[in-house]
Amino acid sequence: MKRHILVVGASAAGTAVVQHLRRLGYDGALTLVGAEHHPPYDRPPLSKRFLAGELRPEQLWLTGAGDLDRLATVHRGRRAVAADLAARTVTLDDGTVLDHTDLVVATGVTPSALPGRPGAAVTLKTLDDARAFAARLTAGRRLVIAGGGFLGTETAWTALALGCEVTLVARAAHPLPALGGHVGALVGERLRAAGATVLTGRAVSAVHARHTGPGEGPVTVELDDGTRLPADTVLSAIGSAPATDWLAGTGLDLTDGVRCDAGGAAAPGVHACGDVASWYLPRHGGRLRLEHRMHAGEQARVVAANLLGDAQVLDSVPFFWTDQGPHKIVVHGVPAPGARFAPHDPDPGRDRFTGVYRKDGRVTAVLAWNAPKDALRLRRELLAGPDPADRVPARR
Amino acid sequence: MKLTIEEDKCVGAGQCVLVAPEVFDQRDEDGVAVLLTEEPAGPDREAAAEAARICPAAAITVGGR
Repeated sequence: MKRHILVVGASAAGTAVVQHLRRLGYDGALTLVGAEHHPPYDRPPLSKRFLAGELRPEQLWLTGAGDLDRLATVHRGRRAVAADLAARTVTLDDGTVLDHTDLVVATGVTPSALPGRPGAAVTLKTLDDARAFAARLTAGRRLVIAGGGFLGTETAWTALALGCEVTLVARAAHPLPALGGHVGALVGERLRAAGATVLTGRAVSAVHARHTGPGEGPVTVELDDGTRLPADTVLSAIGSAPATDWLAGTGLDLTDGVRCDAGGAAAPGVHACGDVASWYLPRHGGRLRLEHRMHAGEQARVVAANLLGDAQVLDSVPFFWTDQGPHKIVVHGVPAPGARFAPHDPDPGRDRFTGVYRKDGRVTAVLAWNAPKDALRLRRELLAGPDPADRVPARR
Repeated sequence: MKLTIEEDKCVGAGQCVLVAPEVFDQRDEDGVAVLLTEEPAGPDREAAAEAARICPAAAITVGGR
């Protein structure tokens, strides 16, 4: 069979694989399958500037109009429902069977559902989600956000700015547990000062509604301590799971997303990248599944190169950011569970600081609060070799 | 080559500064990228093109010539 590369998933990672394959000179058959009808778009602004009405959809597009169709055969509005790795086929939800020689899995993650009438809660994963949600965030509306992670807290800030009454329900002792107590407590404090009600150490146990569809009318949100919160809208932001159901029974290790080596290979003829994939990261000394926008692009570039015979591994310093209303937090590295955060360079007058995460005496990550340039400096000093060498994928 | 940055889209990741420090800098307060030169020369051209490719917000455009 002639070479045919099939990419399943048309968001940041899948789209970047297609673009890089062509950029690297691949001129064979190339097919892209995407669940949505929109052009590939950037998701991080959905909880922030897009939700706030500051960006138009066209400003989210990751490719120019028609670009993708010049690069690949595109199946839009279709999902993969099954794969047979031995026969090298993928079946779509309309029954189409796609033969291929190489498969790239880039199906991302699916938001987790709240217990009890989950249909009564809205999610914020897609552009269509964001549009429908934005229409409900008018001044004075009561919004309950289940989940104190990045999506929950960012959305809380946006909704506050739009004049909503916001209640954030966080399971941990403070929001953003991934960043540790110091930063998480500060975010909680700032959210409260901005007018949000922040309930910690609690979780949503049920959503009660008379109607059946999301966002159709008032709901009552019940917490695990018995508290009942009346609301106009409840957002489920309690996390997500890798979208690997269509790969069940293929023999791939799907313990935490698709298990890959440091170059994105999961099995002969199969690569994975983006939120759905957990790669071995040499500098971390283990496998990591990172739902970071930057990481998706880096992985995609390595996968494209390796599909064309290269033997690259990705060993760059992970990077992510979160906009907490007026506050920008950037993190380079991995704030590993159990790592201790030590702030330094406090500049209370200007509301900015940096800090370092350490575990077993080793720096695992650096963070900056309203000081992104300082974070880059710390990254150079503490985490990586000289620039720009630290971000060029090393040879295997 | 003529570079432009869409400030509205820039998320302040600073990745462009890492790969092309002669071409890009960041505003101190919010990290939004600023151009040190709109028309980089020599090896900085390829570095700038690389920065545009890796920008997590697709905020850098490489135009013309």
